[in-house]
Amino acid sequence: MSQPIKWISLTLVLGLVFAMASCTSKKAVNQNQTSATGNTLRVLTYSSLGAESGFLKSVQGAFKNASGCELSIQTTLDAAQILTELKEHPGTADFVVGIDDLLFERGKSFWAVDDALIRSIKGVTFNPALKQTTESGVLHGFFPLDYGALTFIYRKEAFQKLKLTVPTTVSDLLKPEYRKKFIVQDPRVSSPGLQFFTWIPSTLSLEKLKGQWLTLSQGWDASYQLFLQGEAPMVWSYLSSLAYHETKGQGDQFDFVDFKEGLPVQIEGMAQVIGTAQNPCAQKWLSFVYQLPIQAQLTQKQWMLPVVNGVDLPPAFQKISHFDHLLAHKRTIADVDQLLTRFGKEVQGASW
Amino acid sequence: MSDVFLKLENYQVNAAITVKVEHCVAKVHSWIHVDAPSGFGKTTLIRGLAGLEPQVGGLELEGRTLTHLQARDRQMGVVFQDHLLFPSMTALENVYYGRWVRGQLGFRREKKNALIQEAKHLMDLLGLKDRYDAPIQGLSGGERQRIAILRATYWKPKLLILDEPFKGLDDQIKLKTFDYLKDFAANEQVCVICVSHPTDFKMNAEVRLQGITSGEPSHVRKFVADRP
Amino acid sequence: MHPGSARFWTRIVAAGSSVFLFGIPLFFWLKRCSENWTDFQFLKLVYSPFVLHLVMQTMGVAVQSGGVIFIAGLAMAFLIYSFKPRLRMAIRFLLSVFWLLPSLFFVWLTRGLLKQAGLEQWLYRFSAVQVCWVIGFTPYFALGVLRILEDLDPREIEAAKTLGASASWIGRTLYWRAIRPGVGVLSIQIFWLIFTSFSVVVLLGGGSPQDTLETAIYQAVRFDEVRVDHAFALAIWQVVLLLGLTQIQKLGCSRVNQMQPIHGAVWGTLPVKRKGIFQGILIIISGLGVAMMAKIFLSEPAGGPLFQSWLQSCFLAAGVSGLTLILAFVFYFGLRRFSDWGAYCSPMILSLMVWEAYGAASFPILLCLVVQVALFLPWVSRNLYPLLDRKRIAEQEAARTLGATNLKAWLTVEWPRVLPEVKKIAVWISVFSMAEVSSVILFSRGQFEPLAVWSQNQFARFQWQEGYLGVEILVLTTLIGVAVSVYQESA
Repeated sequence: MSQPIKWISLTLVLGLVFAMASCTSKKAVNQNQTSATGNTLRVLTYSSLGAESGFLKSVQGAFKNASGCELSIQTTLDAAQILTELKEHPGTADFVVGIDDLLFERGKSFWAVDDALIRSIKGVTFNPALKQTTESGVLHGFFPLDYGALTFIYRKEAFQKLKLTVPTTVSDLLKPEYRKKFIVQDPRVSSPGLQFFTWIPSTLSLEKLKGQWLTLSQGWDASYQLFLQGEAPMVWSYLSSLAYHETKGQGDQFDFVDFKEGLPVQIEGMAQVIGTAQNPCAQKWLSFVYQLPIQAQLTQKQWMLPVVNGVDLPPAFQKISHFDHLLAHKRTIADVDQLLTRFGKEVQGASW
Repeated sequence: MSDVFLKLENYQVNAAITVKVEHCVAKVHSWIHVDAPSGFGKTTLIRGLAGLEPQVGGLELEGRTLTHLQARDRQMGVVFQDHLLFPSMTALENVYYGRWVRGQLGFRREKKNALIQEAKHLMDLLGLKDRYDAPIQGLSGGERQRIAILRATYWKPKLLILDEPFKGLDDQIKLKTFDYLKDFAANEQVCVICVSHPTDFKMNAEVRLQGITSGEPSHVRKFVADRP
Repeated sequence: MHPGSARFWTRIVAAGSSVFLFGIPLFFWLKRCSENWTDFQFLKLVYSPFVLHLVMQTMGVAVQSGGVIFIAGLAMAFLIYSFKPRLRMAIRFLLSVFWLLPSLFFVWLTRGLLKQAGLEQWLYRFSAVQVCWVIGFTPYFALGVLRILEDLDPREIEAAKTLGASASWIGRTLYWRAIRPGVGVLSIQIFWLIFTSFSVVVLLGGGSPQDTLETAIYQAVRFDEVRVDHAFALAIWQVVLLLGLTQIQKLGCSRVNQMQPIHGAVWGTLPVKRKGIFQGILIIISGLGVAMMAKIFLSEPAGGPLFQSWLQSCFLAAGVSGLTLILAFVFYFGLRRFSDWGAYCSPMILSLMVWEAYGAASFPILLCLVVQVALFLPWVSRNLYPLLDRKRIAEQEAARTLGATNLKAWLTVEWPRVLPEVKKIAVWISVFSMAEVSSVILFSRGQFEPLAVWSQNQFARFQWQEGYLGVEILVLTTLIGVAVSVYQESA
C-alpha cells in the first residue's frame, strides 16, 4: 500500500478519535468558562441584539470607557433560545439581555434576585405607562431594557382602494371585509405572534379567525416583507414600524390600528443569572444602560422604545410615543399553555 | 423469373456514403454473400435493406415493394454486428421479442407456454441450455451472438440479414450455428444475406454481392451481383 | 483483506467516519430523548392525533405533487430527448443551472406565476406549495430520466423496429424498462425533497393548519423550549415513510432491472461551436458577477459585515464540498453500502443530533461542516457512484501489466474520466451549502453568521435592502461558480 494513503488514513482516524474524545469533555469545557474575570461581564443575548450593527456592540466601547469593564457578548439565534442555552451550558453567562416578561417567568429558576442590584437602580424613573410591570418585575430580578407596543400596521392607500374601514375592536377581524386582509405570526415560534394570540380574548373563536388571516408566518420579518410587497393591507407588527417608515419618508402612507381593548406591550429586559459569582460589572452595567443617551440608542439600533422616562426620542418616534391604549397585560405561563392547547384544537386540527 | 424471391433493381441507399446495387435477384432459400473490403459500405447496405437509412430504387421481396416501408413492416430479421440485445430483458425474452411485439404470444396460457417452450428448445440447440433467465450483461460474447441470431430468426422473417454472425464463436459453436442457419434457410420461406469474412466459414452462397471499385465519386460505393 | 492493506485502512476510515457522522450523534440523540421516555410516553407521542394527522397530511400532498412531478418529469425528459443533440445538451445545461437557484427564487417565481394566471386564491394554501414543488423539482426528475434515456443505445431501438415493434411497443418494452429502476430511485429522492422542504411551505403554505412533518419538527425545536421528544417522534415518521417507499421501489424492480441508476442533476457539457467566443462570454459573466459583488461589498454600511458572512459561507462551502467528496471516495472503496446513511434524515434532525453530540466541544463552523457533510454525502454518492462503476477494467489491467500499482492504474485510467464530474459536483455542493438554512440555523451564534442567517438578521431589524443583498450575493456566487466550472471544462 502506498505511503501517502497510509498517512492520510491514519490522520483521519486520529482526528476521529480526537473528536470523539472531545465529546466527553463537555463538562470540563463548561467548567473552564464559569470562572469569569472580575472586570468582564459575560452577556447572553439573541443575535439581533448582539450583532455587529446591534445595540450591544454599539455601546460596548462606551461601556468599557465608562466602567473599565469588558462586555463579552454571546448570542443565540433568537430570544426564545436563551433559556435553552442556559440549560445546556450553565455558568457561561453572568447576565442575559433581551428576554421578555414571559420568558423571564418561564425561566424563573435561572435568575438571581440580588437585592443590592435592585437597590442600585432605585433612582431610575421608568415610563409611567409601564409602571405596573416594571415595578413588580424589578422586585423579582427582571430589569427592563426597552419596550414595544404591538398592533396592526396598515397601508392607507390599500385600505382606500379596497374601501376598508379601520377596525376598532378585535372582534372586527372576524368581519367578512377583513377576510384574507391581514397577516399574523405563528405563536408557537414567534414572540409577536404569541403576543397577538394571548392578547385576543379567549371568547374569540380561533377556528373562525383562521379563515380570516392571509397567512400565519413563522417570523415577524417574513410577515412584514409580505406586507411591504402588498400581499395584504395589514400586518401584526411593532408600533415602531411606523417610525421606520417615517425615517424613510413614508410616514403618511402607513398608520396603526388603535384597538379599543388596548394594545399589548412587550417589555424586553435583562436578568442576572443564578449561580455565577458576584460580578461588580453587573451593577456598573445597569447604571450605564439606564443613562438617557444610552437608552436613546435603542430606537436607532433595535427600533424599540426606551423604558426610562425623559429620553429624547428621534422625530420619527414622536408620533408613536404618546397614545392612550397601552395594555401591559401580565401573561402567565398558564395563559400560554392554554392558548397553545386551544391553538392546537382550533387551528392545527389536532393536538399532541 | 417466376421464382424470384428477392430483387434489387437500381437500388440506392443514401447515408453518409451512397451505396448502389444495380441488379440482384435471388430465389427463396438462397444465400447471398456480401463481400467487400473493410469500410467499403457493407453495414450501410445492410442498414438500408433493414429500412434504417433513406433509400430509393427497387427493393422487392416476394413481389412486394419495400423501398418506402418502415423497418417494422419489412419482415426482415437482422443480426447486428454488435448484437444490440436488450439489456433490460433476459436472454429468453430477447429471443421471443419478435413474436411478442407481433402479438403472436397471445393471451392464452397454453399458446404462450408452447411458444416459449419452442424458444427454449432453440436455445438448447445452440448450447444455451439453462441460460433462459440470464441477464444479457452476464452472457459471454459468443452467447450473446447466438441469442441475437435466435432473436432475428425465431419470428420467421422473410429476409434474414446477418452481419458477421460467426464473430466470437468457437469452432464447435460456429458449426452448430451454421447448421442452424442452414436448416433455417432451407426450411423457411426466407432468403439470407450474410456479411462475413470469406475465410471465416466455407459457404455455398448462391449469389455474391461484390463491392467493386468503379469510376464513381469517392462517397459512392457500388455492389455487383454475380454467381460464384 | 490483509490488515495494513489499502482496502483495510479505507474500511477503517469509512467505518470511523460513519460512526462519527451518524453513529455518535444518533447515540446522543437517543440518550437525550430517553430522558423523557417513561411508561411508554414516547410511543404515545408517536401515535398522538397530531402526529398521525400530520403524517396523513404530508403524505397526501407529497403523493399528489409527486404524481404531477412524475408525469411532468417524464414528459419533459422525453420531449428534451426528442430534440437534436446540441439543443438537448443546451437545455439540459440550462435546467441543471436553474435547479441550483435558491428556494427563495422558486417561491418568488411561483407567487408571480400564480398572480399572472389569476390564481391568487391558491396562494397561502397547499396548492401554492405544490405548484412550487412541481416547478422546482420537475427539472431534477426530468434530468435524471434524460440521463437514462441518453444511456440507451439508439441502435437497440432500431433493432426493435426491425423486429416489428411499433412506437408504443418500443416505449413499453425498451424505454420504460430502462427507466423504471431509475424512476423509482428518483421518486424516492423527490419524496425526500418534499418531506424536508421548509422555506417553500412556510412562505407559501400560509402557516397552520398547512403544516408538514418538517415544519412541525421546526416548531418543536424552536422557541423557548426544545421539545426533543416531539421532534424525534415526528422525525421517526419521516424516516419510516422514506425507508418504506424505498423498499416498495426495490420490490417493484425485477432482478434483471436492478441497474445502477442515475446521475442526473449536475449540469452536462454545453455544446459549443466557437470555443473562443464562448469562453469570452463566460469571462464576461464572471467578471460582471465579481464586479457586482465587489460593489456590494464596498458599499456602506452593510458591505463589510456582508463580506465577512460571505467569506464564512465560502470557507464552510469549500470545506463541506472537499470533505464530502473525499468521504464519498472513501466510502466507495471502503464501505459502499453504508454511504446512504443519513439519506432519510431531515437537515434539522441531523443538526440537532450533531449539536447533542458535539455541540459544546467545537466551533460552530465545524458543527455546520459535520451536519452538511452528513447531509450531502448520500447525494454525492448517488451522483458519483454510477460514474465510478463504469470502470475501464481492461485499460486498468493493461496499466498493471505495464507495472502500475492498483492506485496508479486507477489514477491513470479512471481519474481523468471522473475528474470533470467531480469538479462539477464540488461546485454543486458548494452552492447548496451556501444556500442551506436548516442545517446552519442552530449553530449561528457570536462571530459565526453565514450568509443565510446574516440576511435573516437584517430583515429582523428592518434592514430590507441589506437583507436582499445577501440573496443577491448568493445568486451571483452561484452563477460565477458555474461559469468558472464550465470555463475550466471547455478549456
